[in-house]
Amino acid sequence: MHKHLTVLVYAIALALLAGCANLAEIQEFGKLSADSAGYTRLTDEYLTAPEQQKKYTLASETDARATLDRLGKERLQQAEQLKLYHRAIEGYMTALADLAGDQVTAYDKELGGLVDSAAKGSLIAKDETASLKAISGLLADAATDYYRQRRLHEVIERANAPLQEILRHLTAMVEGYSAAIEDERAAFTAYYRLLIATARENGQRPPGTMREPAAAQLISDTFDAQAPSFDTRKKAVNAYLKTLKTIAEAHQNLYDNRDSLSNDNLLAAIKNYSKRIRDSYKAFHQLAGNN
Amino acid sequence: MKLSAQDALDLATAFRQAAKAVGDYLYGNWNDLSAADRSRLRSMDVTLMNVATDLVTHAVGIAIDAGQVSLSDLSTAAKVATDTFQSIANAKKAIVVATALIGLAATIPTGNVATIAAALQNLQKCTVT
Repeated sequence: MHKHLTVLVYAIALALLAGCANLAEIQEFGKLSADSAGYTRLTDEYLTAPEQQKKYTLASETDARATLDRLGKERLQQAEQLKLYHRAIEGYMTALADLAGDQVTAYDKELGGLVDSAAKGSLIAKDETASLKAISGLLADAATDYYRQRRLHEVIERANAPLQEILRHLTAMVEGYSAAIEDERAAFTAYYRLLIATARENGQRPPGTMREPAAAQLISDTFDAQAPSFDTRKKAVNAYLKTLKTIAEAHQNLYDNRDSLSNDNLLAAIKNYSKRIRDSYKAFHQLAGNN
Repeated sequence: MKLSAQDALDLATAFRQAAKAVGDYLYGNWNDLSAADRSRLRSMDVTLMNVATDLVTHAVGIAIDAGQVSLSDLSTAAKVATDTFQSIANAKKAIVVATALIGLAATIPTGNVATIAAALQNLQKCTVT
């Protein structure tokens, strides 16, 4: 009886296993996209940019400072909404990764224990324990794999249109972050031009008056030291924009091929997208950390 | 016509460029300008830059508002994925039960009541967990 049973279970398991797919590439893509979407440092910089710009105004420029205070408040009101966009993509991508991955292992131990206790009680032959455990595991995986793929198809189909929209709008927002860096750079440059012009003029005063011949040079040095940080931040934003674009492309590819999610060509393409996302992720992390 | 986020960003760029032009004039002619003119031009420069900053804030606001419906749709899709993930966990549990059933089935032909009872107990144990 045991032998027949084992053969039968083997046959079922192998038949199901033939349709099994390794969706690790989709899982990896989901995880990396979730990590990238969850990165909000650039958003924080956008939110605090008006406060930063205020440092590049003179105390006497009260109207300009009041405007920047107002804009700072308006941006803080946008904060929760902006982070909602990041969280929505992060949440979806995490769910996608979970669904694509074989995370449901909680019952595998239980399954093993059950087979062991069945062997202990002479319900099954001891020498069949290992194979039955393995087969039961395969059976569980194979049966759920079919269901998983079917549901993945449905989830990707349902999510693609809103995800593409959200990524499009988030891209517009991040382009706004890029413009905010340009605003800050313009305010910084104008402020230092004013300081340098004033200091130069003071340095040219006749001897015996309040001369500051070295001040212009010192201010100019400070300007030269700080100016490149804007380029670095812009590069970080560009790397982030690239990541968003890659996530959009990869998900569109999944959507276009949702009927054959285990196709080798598709999975190879998704693996390549993941590599690009990982590279961009490293780049914007490194750049943002360097300024 | 409604302003798009991109329109607002383009306008912001135009105002930033105008500010730069004012700055170029101011600092290019610094020595020839009166204190009053310098002050007026600096004020214009800062005002134009702040208009750009205002437009950038506006652009981001437009993008935020435009995506609201999609946010809700994506949350629904994420919920389907999470629910499915849970269903798979439940399906695996069902397979554990099926495995216990296999154990039970194997005992029946033996006719040994004690063994069948032990298998049943085993089955009950895994259906309650």
